[in-house]
Amino acid sequence: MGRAEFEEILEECLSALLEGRRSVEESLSLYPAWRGRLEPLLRAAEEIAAGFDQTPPSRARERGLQRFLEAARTRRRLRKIFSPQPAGISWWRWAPAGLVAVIVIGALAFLSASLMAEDGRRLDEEVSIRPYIPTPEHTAPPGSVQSPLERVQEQVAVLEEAVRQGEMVEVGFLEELEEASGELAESLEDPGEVELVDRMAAVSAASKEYELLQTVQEQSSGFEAWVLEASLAAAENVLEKLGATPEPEPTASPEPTASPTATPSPSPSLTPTAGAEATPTPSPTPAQAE
Amino acid sequence: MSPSWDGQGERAIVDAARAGDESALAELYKLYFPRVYRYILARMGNPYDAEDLTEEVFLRILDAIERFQWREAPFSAWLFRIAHNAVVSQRRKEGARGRSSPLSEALPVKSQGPEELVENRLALNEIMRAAETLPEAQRRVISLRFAAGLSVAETARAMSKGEGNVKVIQHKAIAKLREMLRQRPKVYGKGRV
Repeated sequence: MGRAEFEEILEECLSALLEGRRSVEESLSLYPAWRGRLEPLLRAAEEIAAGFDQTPPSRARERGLQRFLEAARTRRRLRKIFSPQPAGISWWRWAPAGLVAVIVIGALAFLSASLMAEDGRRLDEEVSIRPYIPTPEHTAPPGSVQSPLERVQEQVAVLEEAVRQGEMVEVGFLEELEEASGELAESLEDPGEVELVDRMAAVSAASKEYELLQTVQEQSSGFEAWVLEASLAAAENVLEKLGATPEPEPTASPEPTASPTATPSPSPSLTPTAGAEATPTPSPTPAQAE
Repeated sequence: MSPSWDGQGERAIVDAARAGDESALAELYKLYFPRVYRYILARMGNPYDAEDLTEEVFLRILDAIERFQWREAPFSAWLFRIAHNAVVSQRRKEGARGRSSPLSEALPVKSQGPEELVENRLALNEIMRAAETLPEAQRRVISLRFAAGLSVAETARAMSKGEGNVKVIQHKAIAKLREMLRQRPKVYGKGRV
């Protein structure tokens, strides 16, 4: 009888006791030769088993079960949310979606390239910036009431064309030009109220008018001279209002000591009266004409 | 204290539980909860700790059951490894907090009459006091065999030891406990040793 054999018999009797298959007495009767060694161990095992045979409180059991199952449900929900797609899905199930994605991406790429090319063409185009030059066409749309400036500009353009063509300037035209220039001078009573663009345009138009009238005056004689003088005075008045009094031409500047044969020419501060006083010729001034 | 199903029944239920079957999980819980509770009570000595720790063990099982492999160990052995780890963790925490685990006056007892209730409480207290003097391996074998109801084979797998080794450890542990219980004062009339 070795130790291993006793270990086997003890274990067999312990298992029968713990599993409730046999009592201590029944095991001892099965192994009468080992009774002396078996009995104290089996009795001790019986007491130990009885001491550990504790039943958990039912409330703890139920509470634990509810928490356990709730935790299982939570994990199952989370697993559904975060679990990867099953590997068994065939590629062709994704093919339509992939094809649509490729088409959409291609269309977007084409559209983007087109827009970029259009932008490139726009960037290549030359952009010309032209200065603003008020003209009758720009400032006087058909049917609208012309401002004095617009009328002067329009008439100066006509006068310029006439001078360039070498045509005769009618007295009536000159009277209209004088009237328009007078109105323009009135509209410039307070130059601070006039916009800079309009001031510049007015300076340009009056200067041009004055220059053209001088040219006409040089080429004219007889009865229209006094009308020219009036138009020149009106243009000069406009330039004075704008602070742009025209510079006298050196050759035409009438000196107080000028000889009686000097050519009549308006001075920078020329006024009809002053011009008449400086002019030995019988050309009448507007005041004299009146 | 042994499970009420055979090997095939256990395997079917465990497999269903691994697949997330709620009724299978509930069945596993009902069958193993008392055994896990007794094992932890035998190791910790405090019924309140045993209740809380048993709940925690089942939550750990829930997290790990998908990784359970039949070829490695019986399910019960696998489960009581988790319970053992939970006990070790709890003891480590209590050690860090400087808390001992004295035997509780509120040790649970079976629903018996007042006299038997007192006897059971005293019996468990005495066994627990005696078991505290055992080496860890002997105490673990006694807890697995007598409290958890594992077989020698299952205990061996749970402890990663040979069955012969477990039998020897078990023999020594019972003999030592017998000696300690014999030395106790006879406070009640059921001294059978």
